[in-house]
Amino acid sequence: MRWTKVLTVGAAASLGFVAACGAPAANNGGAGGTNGTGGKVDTAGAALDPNAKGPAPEVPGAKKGGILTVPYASTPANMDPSDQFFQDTAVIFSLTHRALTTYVSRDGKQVLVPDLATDLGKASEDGLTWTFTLKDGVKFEDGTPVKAADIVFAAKRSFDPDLAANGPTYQREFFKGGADYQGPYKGDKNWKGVEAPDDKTVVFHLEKRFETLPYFVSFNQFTPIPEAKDKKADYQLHPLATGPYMFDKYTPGTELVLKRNPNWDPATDPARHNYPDGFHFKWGVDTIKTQTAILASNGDDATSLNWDPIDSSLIPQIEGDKKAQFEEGPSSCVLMVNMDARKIPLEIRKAIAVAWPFDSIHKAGGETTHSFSPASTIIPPQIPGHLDYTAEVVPGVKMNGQGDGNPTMAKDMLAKAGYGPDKPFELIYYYTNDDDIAQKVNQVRKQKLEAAGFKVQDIGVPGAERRKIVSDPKGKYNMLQSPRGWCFDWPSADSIIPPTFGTIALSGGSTTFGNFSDAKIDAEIKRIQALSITEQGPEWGKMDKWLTENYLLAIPDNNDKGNSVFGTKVKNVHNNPNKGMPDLTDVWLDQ
Amino acid sequence: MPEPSAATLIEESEETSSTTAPEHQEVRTGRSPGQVAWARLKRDKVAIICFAIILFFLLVAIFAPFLVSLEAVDPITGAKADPSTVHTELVDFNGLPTVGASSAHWLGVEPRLGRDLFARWAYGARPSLIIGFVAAFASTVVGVALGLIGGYLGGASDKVISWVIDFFLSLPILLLVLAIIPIMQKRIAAGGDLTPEETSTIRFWVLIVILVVFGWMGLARLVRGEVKSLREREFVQAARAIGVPTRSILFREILPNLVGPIIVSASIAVPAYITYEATLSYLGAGLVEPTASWGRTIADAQNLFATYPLWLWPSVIGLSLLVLALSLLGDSIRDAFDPTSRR
Repeated sequence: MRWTKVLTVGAAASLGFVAACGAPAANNGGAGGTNGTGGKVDTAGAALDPNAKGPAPEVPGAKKGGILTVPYASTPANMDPSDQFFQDTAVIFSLTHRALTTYVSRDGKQVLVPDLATDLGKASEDGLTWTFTLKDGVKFEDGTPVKAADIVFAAKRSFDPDLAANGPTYQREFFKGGADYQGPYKGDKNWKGVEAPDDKTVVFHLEKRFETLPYFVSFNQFTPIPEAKDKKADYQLHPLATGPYMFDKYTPGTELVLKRNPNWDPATDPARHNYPDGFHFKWGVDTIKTQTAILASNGDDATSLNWDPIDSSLIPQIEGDKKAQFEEGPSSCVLMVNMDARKIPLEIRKAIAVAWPFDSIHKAGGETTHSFSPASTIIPPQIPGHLDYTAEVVPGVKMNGQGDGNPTMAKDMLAKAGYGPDKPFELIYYYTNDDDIAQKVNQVRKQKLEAAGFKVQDIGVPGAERRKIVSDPKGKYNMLQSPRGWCFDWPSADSIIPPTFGTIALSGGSTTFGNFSDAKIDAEIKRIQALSITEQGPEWGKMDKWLTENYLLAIPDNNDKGNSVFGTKVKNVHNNPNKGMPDLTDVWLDQ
Repeated sequence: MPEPSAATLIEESEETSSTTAPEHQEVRTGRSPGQVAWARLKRDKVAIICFAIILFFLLVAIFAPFLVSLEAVDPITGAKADPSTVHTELVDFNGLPTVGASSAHWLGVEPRLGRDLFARWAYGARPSLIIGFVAAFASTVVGVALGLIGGYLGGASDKVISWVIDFFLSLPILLLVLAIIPIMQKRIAAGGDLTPEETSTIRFWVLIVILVVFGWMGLARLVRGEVKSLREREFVQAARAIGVPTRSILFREILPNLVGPIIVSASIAVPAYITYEATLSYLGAGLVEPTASWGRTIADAQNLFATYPLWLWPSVIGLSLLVLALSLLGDSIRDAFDPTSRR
């Protein structure tokens, strides 16, 4: 999932995030502090509940009515359900559009439940055919019933190179014949990758096993679009709603107003509530001004919510008397210090891990204690199967994403490996030189690494160029190549480790954690992927630890956090740990 | 960029002349226009104060290392301050400094990085002053040369030069500069890789070149106009008639009559260029880390102004005061050189 928040100080660009294929990690909220307590994240990985039935249980004390205003910094390019693959639009679509499956929040845990489908799909014996059956009584906002063909059409539309240019790419990789399919307009209208044998059944034909397909079909790419009413590029102006709200007024690039959808039947929906009368999204606002106003909560600001990272100048307020108006929680992104294991031997990689000035870099990046929590693992804590370990680089030095490095010990380690002041080990990396924060972070990183006895060649290039250079496996760098981090698309480690480690990922022509090719790693990935979804979790957790302890291809750094600031009348805001965004379907307003 | 035009010079001086006392109170003999101007300038209190302020900043810039070395050793880091070493141990996890202004850090430390703000401020005066003075000098030389040639030769060369002046004047300078700086930087690097220090050095010289390239036209037009009228005056005609070589006519006969406007123009150009450097650094097209520059500091500090105003004030005050002093001094010099103004 791509991240569109322009976070506090562009730490994204600064730290050199680079988007990569299916699940680009492209942000980083501000970020922050490692004050020891920040490391705790509530486990909220998605369990599965195929039997969940509507309506969603009432939120105790919730009242109906009012309009929730949501002003935030970024601006969606469009509202096309086939195209949008960003966290912010996913939250908006969660109010208006229903997919085959969806998540509900239960006791702080995200649980995958059927949405338009009656269950979480049935796989065939070989795992290559998945069948979903639709519920009765689900209608579009105009009253026409939702048919299986509408979902099939939407799935095909998500292949369109123009209409779905920013969409996900898993369907290309896994759906049968998906690799070069061009969608229903440019390609074969009767393409057989996804089929509707009757009005109630959707069948997916796969190229290879895709145990986490039920998660994938929760994206807005799998919300129904009636073929007869598709206006192609103009469909985004009013995509037909199936959820509790529908488009009322939409001004592209400026604002979106949602009103109640009279044809939504709560009895069919296990996940959504409809407490407010409507929502008002305002785009491209100034973060500091908005957050200051919302904390002051005068007039409309009392019923407003902002999900941009909290500005550091407001931290005294949200840590003090405005504590109740702030909510934070994990997001789906994990950040690493990436190294090229082909060019830096293991001993030196360990010395880098010992010397790495986590705290200094966070401070220089303008990150705050509310924007990240230090990590010691590759798989974030909210993923099922997460193994909570802290590896020791050398006995006594814990690798937990905290502290400011130990330059003396790093020097000793370098000396042992045969490098000294007369023959220093040279670290070569690229940084963004057209971004102010990136320049500052680089100053800190360079000085601290030099203090630890490394020679540093820091090459400054403009941001856009850097993205290209660091995603080339043949680059001149020997560390900090792409990806800087990874945002999982669904809460299962198979959307984290296989795309970022090993030969398969590397052979796609992109860079990976470590840029490293090793038969043992490949074999392990292959072994775990063949297991069933419930068995996979703990195995990925073990592999995570094994990778860090034996290979140290990348140093675990931190997990990103989501922030919400809201007015005094906004109630029941909780963070969705799979997105780092608040669940708007549970929010109600105290008028 | 300022374009002191001859018309406004005369207008203003006429106003002042009507209110000032008549001359010829004492009998004075044999003083050059320069000597007259200097005598007047010395009596101008504003000019003296402005000169003192400018001198102060010049001394700060020249003796920056010495001034910074006067700061005490920091008790936490155990090191003396310098403008580039980061001390993140002096800031908390939200990036705010944990130490205030002290004997070790006269102006406190920079949020997020913990660098000494006094050192950054003192060293930050250097690029402003160097760029201001070097660019003003170079653009004056270019402007005078082209103005002289165009005005004196006339004909085709005058047409070409006038056209070039008009062309350059019509360009949207700020937009162009924002686009040109990264391009020139890339050209100079010639595909090679740049460290931040190299980038900053390149940017520094590119800035000067650009300020000169876009800053000479005003003076050139002024000089050209003056030369055109001087050329027809009797003393020039006489010199020409007795066969004085063109070079001598230009430098011996015409140029001394232009010293006034040239000095005025140059003295107004310096603060303009300093402002330009700060503006471009503020916009991100100027100097880059790790060079200390007031414009950069202002850009960094403005977001945290509410929480940490000490970061912003010194650079803003320094820049405003320096530019104001230079501009007022330029005004005073203009008044002093103007034969029609009486003080």
